[in-house]
Amino acid sequence: MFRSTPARDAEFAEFMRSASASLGRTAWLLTGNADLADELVQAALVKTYLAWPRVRSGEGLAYARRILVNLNVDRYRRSRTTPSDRIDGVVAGNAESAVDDRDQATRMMATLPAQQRRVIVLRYYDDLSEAEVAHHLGVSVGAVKSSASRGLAALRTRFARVPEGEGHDE
Amino acid sequence: MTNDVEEQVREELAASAHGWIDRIDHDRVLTDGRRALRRRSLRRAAMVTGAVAAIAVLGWAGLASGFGRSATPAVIATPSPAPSTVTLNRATFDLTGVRGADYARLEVTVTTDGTLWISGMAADGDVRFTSSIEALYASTHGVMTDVGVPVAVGLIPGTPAWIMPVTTGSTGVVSDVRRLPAGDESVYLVVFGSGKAPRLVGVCWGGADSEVHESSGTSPASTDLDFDGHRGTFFFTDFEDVSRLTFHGDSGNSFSFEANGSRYRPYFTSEHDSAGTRSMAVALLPWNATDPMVDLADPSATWTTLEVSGRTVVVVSGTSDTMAGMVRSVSYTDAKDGRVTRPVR
Repeated sequence: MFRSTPARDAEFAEFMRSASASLGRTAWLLTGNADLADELVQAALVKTYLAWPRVRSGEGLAYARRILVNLNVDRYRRSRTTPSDRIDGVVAGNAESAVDDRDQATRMMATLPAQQRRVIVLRYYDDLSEAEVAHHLGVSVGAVKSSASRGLAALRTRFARVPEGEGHDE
Repeated sequence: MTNDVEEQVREELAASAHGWIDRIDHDRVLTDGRRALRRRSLRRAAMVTGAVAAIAVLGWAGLASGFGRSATPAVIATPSPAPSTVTLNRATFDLTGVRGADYARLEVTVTTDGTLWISGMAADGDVRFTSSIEALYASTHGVMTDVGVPVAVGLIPGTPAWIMPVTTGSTGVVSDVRRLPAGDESVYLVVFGSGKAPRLVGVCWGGADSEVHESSGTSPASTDLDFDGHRGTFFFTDFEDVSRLTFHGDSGNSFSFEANGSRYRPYFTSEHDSAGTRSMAVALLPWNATDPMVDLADPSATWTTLEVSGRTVVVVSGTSDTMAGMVRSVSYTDAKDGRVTRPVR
């Protein structure tokens, strides 16, 4: 039976210090909601902590990011299948549509279907290969290519509509 | 063209992420992680116990049949499947007495996949809303929702003797706690007063071990009070870098106030019932304050002192409706300022 030890906790704390900002940025781009991003990172880190003995050296960030992406998928599905919009700041309606409209990138990302958004973020922000994105999302490489292509096409038309500088000033 | 768009997307995403401020509470991650580990260990232990019990039953039955007799009553064939009962790991809170509540009951169910479901039920049993969240999120920190009035729901380990929410405001809150039928957890419900709710910053509870526990994962030192009919427990909570002197009264009269720094802080509370008014004035003295004295305005009032985590707390008991009605001033000797007198305004 696994038990936490000071040495393990120290090792995990070190990993957390190096990984949490990166995970936070990915979560922010996936959700466009700072509070939700914090919650996702918090939960992903806790789950990574539980699995820490199984996580291979040097692969902590990839492992935690995969959990984070899956948690976000779960939340998205749940928010679409449960009738309630009463939980504040947790699963309030479609949480992925609750976007801080001060930010042009997240605003445009919010217009994409969820799967395209995930692919775009993992492919073009986290710089993962198509195969790695497929592994993160549990889909085929072909599906990643297709989502990336459609997402880019949609963003191209939106970039064309947004004049230089718009969206950055309030 | 695609490469241009790809490059633009990379730049936009990088620019958006650039301003991200890491707000993750690493201590909380470790606390939640340790708690989740404990819960997983308990769950596994329960499964092992169940498996051992099942093997014991099957083994005994097998052994008995080997000896040519039955260890259990014969199973009677039934024409249709026998009804089975599934016990849900659920706690139910009655909201009928809560002014402004949209629902008659609130059901909180924890499923085996670690999901916490919250359902608002009408009086006729109709489910009016259901929502879910990973139980981990709702573990001791709680999750806010709205049932017509703001409430917080959370899980705490074991069966607490009492529970006390700590909030950012002073709006009255009511809390209730129910033991879940399976596992080793209880569900708490905190109902805030109507209007804008203060934020729930943490929860404290008295454990079966008679210790005080905080949702931050710590167990603060506590000092019991049993003075002139006032009974309860003093301790300092420490949530979000704010220290609060907290008192849980056995009668339910509990309070918590900020105690940051080394300042003098007075507090007054009173209860009214058919027997009259029972009041308690509390003065938290600065660090290193010695020789406390109380100048009583009401000669029938009485006072005492106690140490809470190294700080002196003066407690005055009386029957006045105001602190000034009981106390004229509190004085003490401070290492830096000498003798200090704090008049009660």
